[in-house]
Amino acid sequence: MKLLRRLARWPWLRRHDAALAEEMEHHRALVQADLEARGVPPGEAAAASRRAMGNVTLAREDARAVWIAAWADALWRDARHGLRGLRREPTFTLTTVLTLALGITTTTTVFSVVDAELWRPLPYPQPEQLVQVYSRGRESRGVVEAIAVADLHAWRSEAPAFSDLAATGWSGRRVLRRDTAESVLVTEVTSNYFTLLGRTPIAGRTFAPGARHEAVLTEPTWRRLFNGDSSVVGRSIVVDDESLSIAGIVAADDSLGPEPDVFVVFDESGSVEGDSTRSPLYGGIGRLRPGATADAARAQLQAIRTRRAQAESDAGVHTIDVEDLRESNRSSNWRPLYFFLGASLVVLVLSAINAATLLLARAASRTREFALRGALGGGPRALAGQLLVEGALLAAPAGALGLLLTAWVVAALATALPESLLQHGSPIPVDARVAGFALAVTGATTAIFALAPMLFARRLDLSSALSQSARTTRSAGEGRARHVLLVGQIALTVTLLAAAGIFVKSFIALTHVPLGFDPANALVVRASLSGPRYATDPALVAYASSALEAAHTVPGVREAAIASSTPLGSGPLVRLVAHDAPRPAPGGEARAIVRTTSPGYFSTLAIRLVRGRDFASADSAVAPRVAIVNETLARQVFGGDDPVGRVLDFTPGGSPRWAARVGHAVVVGVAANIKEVGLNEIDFGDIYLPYAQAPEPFVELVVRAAVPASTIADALRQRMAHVDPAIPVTGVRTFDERVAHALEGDRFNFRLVGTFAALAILLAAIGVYGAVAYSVQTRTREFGVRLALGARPGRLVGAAIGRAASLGAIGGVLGVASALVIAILIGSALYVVPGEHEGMLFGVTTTDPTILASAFAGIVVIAIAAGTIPARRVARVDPVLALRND
Amino acid sequence: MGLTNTAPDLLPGTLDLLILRALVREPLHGYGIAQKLKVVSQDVLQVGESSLYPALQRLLASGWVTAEWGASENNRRARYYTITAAGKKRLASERAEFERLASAIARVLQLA
Repeated sequence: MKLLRRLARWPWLRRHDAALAEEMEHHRALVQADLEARGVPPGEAAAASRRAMGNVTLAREDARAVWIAAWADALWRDARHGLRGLRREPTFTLTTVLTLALGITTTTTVFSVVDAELWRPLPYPQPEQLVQVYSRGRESRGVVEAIAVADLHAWRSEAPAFSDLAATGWSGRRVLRRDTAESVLVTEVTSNYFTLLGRTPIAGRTFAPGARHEAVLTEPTWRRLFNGDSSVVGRSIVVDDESLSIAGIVAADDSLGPEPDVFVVFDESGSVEGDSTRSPLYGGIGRLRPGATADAARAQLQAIRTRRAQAESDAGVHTIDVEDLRESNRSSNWRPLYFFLGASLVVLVLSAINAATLLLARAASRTREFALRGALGGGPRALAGQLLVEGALLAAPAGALGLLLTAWVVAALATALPESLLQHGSPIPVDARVAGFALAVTGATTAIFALAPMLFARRLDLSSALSQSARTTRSAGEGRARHVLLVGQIALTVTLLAAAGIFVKSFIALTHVPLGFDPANALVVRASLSGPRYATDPALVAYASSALEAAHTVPGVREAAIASSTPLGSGPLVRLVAHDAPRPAPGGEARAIVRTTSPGYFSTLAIRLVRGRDFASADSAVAPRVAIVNETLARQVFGGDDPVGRVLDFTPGGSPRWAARVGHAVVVGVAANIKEVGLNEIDFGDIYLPYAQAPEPFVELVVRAAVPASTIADALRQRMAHVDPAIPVTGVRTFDERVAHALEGDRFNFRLVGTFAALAILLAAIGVYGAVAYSVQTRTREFGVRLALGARPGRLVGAAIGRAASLGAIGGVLGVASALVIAILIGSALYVVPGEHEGMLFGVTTTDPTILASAFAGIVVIAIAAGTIPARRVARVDPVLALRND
Repeated sequence: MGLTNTAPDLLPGTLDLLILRALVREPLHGYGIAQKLKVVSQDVLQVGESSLYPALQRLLASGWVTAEWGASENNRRARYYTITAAGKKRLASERAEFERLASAIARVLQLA
């Protein structure tokens, strides 16, 4: 009964119900009129007529049940009929199901990635209440500034829009000491961080209010360092010589960006300002009270900040930003994700078109059935119902298979996806949300492909359908419908083919980009020096020189050097101006990546020195400050002049630390540009400083070997570990690996687009094959006649192949045209824009004529190849058999 | 069940047969069918509304009758039922079957 009531809410049943109610009320009125005619007073007659009607509700429910039964019965009849038909044609059934499954898998897989990255709400209770709070400096171009602890306290107590406000510091590498030293990524958070978000521990507890000297480990770290032993809760660990008690373990969650290995509670009791050993707070995370808006919250925080700034006559009035936490931490990779989603939708449409053409071919042979059904009173609705049921019979297994394959592909992708594409979503869930999407896609696809036969079936007239023999029955409408679909399919395929070609060419161009250094046989090892023992410059310099000595003792090492960072490893940005030139407006200074290197760094990595000299051991801590700039920075600061001998000033715009530390330096050399972040980057300015004059706690040892770099990696790491056993040695990588890593995203891109194109080609080939095979089959009789009349078989075969070729050519032209339109619409979004997004393409235009021509030629060849196989059957037609076959 | 629609128990399926027969001469609305059955059977067959309307829906769903809205004698919208070709065929076969059954029962009552 519950089911019936639910069904009763369907509009068509409601219409039935209303009609029935009206009808029965009419009946009652007539009974009443009859009673009145026999002299019963009107009031009594009405009551009597109602009594006479009995239980109207029951009658209505009974009547409704009749309809539902009839509907279910029709459904079941259609389903049985459809199943019988599908069982008779297993090849058709299998091809269609697999084709659809292919499209559904492709789209659902890409959807699950995009959804995990961009669309899923944050996995916390009431995520819509969560906001990110940033304090941005007014003068320094909106750079995020530290939040004062006093401000945080004032905001918490005085801003009514917030139910709570937490904050995080920057993440940094520190040393966790156990039996060995481990380098771990640590983030400091205020004690209410976890409770505010609603993150619960999987063991122990999260931070209690006002907690100090406590740590919360993330699950992967806990498993790696403590083998998942829950008795570690309450024990002490030493992080950078600070003893911390492990409060609990939380499950990994990267929905707000990369997770640290260890959360350390931020001690709010002490003063941060002026204490250089402590990280300041940067990002505020707030939970709004129900009904409070981000705008109201922003206004309240801003008012408090302004009031406090005036009270303290503090010049640094900051602009407060409050935005949705999800939006604020949104992945920067939406462009490639949307691009891939679009491409996967094209594959889905192709698979639906394929299913439609297959169904059309089958429908053609059922023309008589459809015509008969029409003559016997089966209206277009009944026919549509039948077609939809048959479509659903094909789509349901395809959808189920698609979902299964999606789960499998997503699991396989988890390790293959480049980091740039998967920033927040890992692990990618395949759950009810994804299943819902698969269901929606399957439903929409079914409606499209299943109803395709309706396009022409409605125009059939019975007499012509029945009077012709089944073999020659082809309506003009049906042929047109098939050709339109096929040409559309080929056009979409060409578009994907062109896209794949562009991505491949872009990748090849990237592999030929000059790196500015020689990666062959070069190797890098990293050590992070932290803790009180390395708080002074001499200690850092001493470590670096011991490490350098140790490296030289490894057999096979030809050259070695120390640097704070290395090519394709980026580094901190500084702002620079020429000392003797007029100052540019604030914000107009040249920006450069700063790197401190030991003498010999340039020759070790084979970075060309264009002018001047390398650093020497004479450039010590007490010597005058010197610097080497790269060509880009030289041009930006000095124009065409010779930079050697000129003086550069560090301005506080970038990392303020550097301005304070270095102040100014004399340029002694100019180095060639190197790739700093990615191979498609627009050249960065670089400034090199002698390691001895500005030692950094990040030490990278670069080595050029006489033998393949990977063979000495272990020996080098061991030697390095001996220099100071308390310092963890990480990141042993050959530069070949680093270059490969830099290409990873682009390799993935071209492989993915290539896969889409390959699927499209497969589908198009099936489509062309099917079309030609079908036309050969239906025209067997015609061919028989022509052969009997003396036509040469070769000519007939040629004509059939020519048909395939012309389909390919028409589709090809349309495809090239649509590729050009798409290139114009989205082309500019595919290239790198510094500071905004990484590009997907490099060194190729989206309208590359060679690629478009190749895609066109490719599809024509594929069409001919796919058409040739069935076309050859024409030659084998036996005229006698063909004519007798009636 | 209402008070007055205590129709004599009909053999299963007989109501469908009676409705179809009532519609052979002319299209009728629900009340008209009930009245016709009552009058023709000399008040013996008083078909209750709670069985009439489900039966009509059943006939509609089976395609033996079609329904159309029209104006009734009291100037209101009423649904008129018309027997279809399939319904007439059905009526003929049901009727033959019923008569066979009825005569069989009559024979048993007389002779057994």
